[in-house]
Amino acid sequence: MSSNISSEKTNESSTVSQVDPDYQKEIFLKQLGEHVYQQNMKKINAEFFNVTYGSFVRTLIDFYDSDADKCNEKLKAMGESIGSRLIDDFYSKVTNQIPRCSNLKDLGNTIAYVGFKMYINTVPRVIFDETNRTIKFRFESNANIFNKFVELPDDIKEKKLYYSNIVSGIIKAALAGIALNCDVEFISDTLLDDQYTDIQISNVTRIKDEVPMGQ
Amino acid sequence: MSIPLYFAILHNKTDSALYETFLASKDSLSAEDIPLKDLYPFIANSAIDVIDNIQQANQTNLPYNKTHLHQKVQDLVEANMNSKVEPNKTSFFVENILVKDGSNKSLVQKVTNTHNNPQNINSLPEGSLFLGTIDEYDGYLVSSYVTYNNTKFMVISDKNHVMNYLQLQKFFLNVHDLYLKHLMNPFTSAKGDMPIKSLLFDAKIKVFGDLYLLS
Amino acid sequence: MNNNLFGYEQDQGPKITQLTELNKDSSILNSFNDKNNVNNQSGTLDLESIKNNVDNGTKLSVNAAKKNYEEGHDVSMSAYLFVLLEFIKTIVSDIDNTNHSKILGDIGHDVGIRIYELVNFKLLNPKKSMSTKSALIEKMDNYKYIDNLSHGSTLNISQVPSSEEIYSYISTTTVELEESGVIKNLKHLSFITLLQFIQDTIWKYMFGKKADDIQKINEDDSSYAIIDNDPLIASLVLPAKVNEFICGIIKGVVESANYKCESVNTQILEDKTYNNKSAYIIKLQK
Repeated sequence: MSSNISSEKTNESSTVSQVDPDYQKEIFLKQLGEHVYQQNMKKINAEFFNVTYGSFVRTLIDFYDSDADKCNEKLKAMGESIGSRLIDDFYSKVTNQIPRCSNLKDLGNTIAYVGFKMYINTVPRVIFDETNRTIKFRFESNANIFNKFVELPDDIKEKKLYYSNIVSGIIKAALAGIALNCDVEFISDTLLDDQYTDIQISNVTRIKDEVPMGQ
Repeated sequence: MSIPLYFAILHNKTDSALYETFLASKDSLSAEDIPLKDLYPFIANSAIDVIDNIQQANQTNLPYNKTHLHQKVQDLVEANMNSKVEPNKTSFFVENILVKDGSNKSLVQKVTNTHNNPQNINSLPEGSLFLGTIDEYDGYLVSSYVTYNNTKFMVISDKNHVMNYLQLQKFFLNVHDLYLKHLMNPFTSAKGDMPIKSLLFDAKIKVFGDLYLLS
Repeated sequence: MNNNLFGYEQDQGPKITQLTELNKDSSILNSFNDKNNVNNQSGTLDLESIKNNVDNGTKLSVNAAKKNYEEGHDVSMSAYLFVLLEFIKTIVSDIDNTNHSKILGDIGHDVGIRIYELVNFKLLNPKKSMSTKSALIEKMDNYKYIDNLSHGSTLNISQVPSSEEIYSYISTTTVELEESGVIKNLKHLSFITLLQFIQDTIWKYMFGKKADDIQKINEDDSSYAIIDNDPLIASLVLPAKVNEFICGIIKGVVESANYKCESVNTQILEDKTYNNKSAYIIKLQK
């Protein structure tokens, strides 16, 4: 899906003589993500990742007696613990090539085209809401690699377990690592019979005035 | 107008049924009209021994020694008549099996009166998943397929049904694909023998059956 | 006895199927179109990527990489390690402090069972039918099903596809046999071939490289060791815990191949060049 969108946009930008700098930046980020993923990252089979994650999550659900709220919380906490370390890994892999994010839209694009691409090799669609100042990452049908092969049992589905809630924790903690405070949450999931999987970032504020090193 | 096919998926360790159904074409008879319909599970269950024998001997050509099989079916039916079979052991709906009145004996006689007229499939490769027609039981042919982890698929047809082995392999292959998708779901217990309840699984098997076996 | 054990009422025996009934049931037809449903997901049989993986190790050609990118067939090792280590940490610290080896082994066992079936199925050689979106599938996608029963309306039969349409829809998503008409496969008949399969194919599938050696430990054919000089996912921290997980995977693979496995243990061997040289010792039941 996302690749189709990108190819359309590149075609468009080549035909229009005056190229929108935003588009240019977007394309640069896409190429950067692709480059970093192909050159700097070791790969592992996605299905193996998927099966491992699934087995661990099931163990967690068993441990919490199918209490979806606790599981969501725990997954998010684990994500935060990962995120605080992941941000260092991120900067060491992209090696200062990443442009500074001047606004919220840039931030969303960077996370989607470089962050998601680098780690889980999938690019979500970015939906930026100017008025509410929120960013949504949208995975269409089963593009979210966590969800492949998964079907939640009915009782857990009713309790609204967000299966890949670990991602929201990772984003939150990673942004905290570059001095941005925000709320990240899942608002829909294809596993819960929604049409898309949506992750939303809202209430982005800067923690301190100074810009930390490396941004 | 033909007698419906019986199809079952048997669990690899416990040999209980994960899924079973009758496959019938559109103008087929109703459930009451299927002769000996309650006997199918017993035949399927008994044929497990034959499969085990094949796998131990690494031989895929008929004829196998089948005397024990006939003995086993007979034993099962008789044990059931005397209510000695524990339901969990045979794993099928034993308590409902045919015989609750005096008509039992004729059935047993019919069962034991078998003709050795097996259909053969030549030259299967060593270690093949598809085992061809492994047994013949009073005019009922048992065809089987074993997945890598030893889950057994079984089709029982009556001898008037013309079985095309190419189509049968295609059917099994597609069911294998479907079964794999079921297995890959982290919420299906890989060790346990919970039956498959998915509606879509059910519907797809039926369409495959109609596509490959009944037309 | 549980009446719903087989997904139907046991008093009535197995279900009788009449395909005409399918056409009347809107929910089933709906689910044929539901791309999120597990049974509709494509890609259990992406032969291309596994062959590339097996043939070229981790180095993928540009084309294959592009294809993989579009279909998302691999992810980064760091993501895997982050998630794996975090879960191990959680299990050790939160869930069970004393019995975590068993829990990790069980999780590995679950993974192993699935990996064994999946890798084998992928190496099976039927053709993958063309996945191009035909006009017919487009048509199927465009069907609108009315099933808001709350408003009292029933399914409009004219909008439901005929069974022919369902069949052609299904047949475009099925797996086709090669012309020889025989399912060739790699079913493992001896334990040694299974070990080689683990060392070679399964290791490549999981970690992108072969394990380095297989050794026989006992004279009586009951213990074997798979040796990996530099286990990839054990390279960071907690190598012992990660190895327990890998042991579980091996046990799952061996057991689903129908061998009776008593235990799989791990041991980190001393070596001058490799820090984490690990041996996975498989002990068979006699």
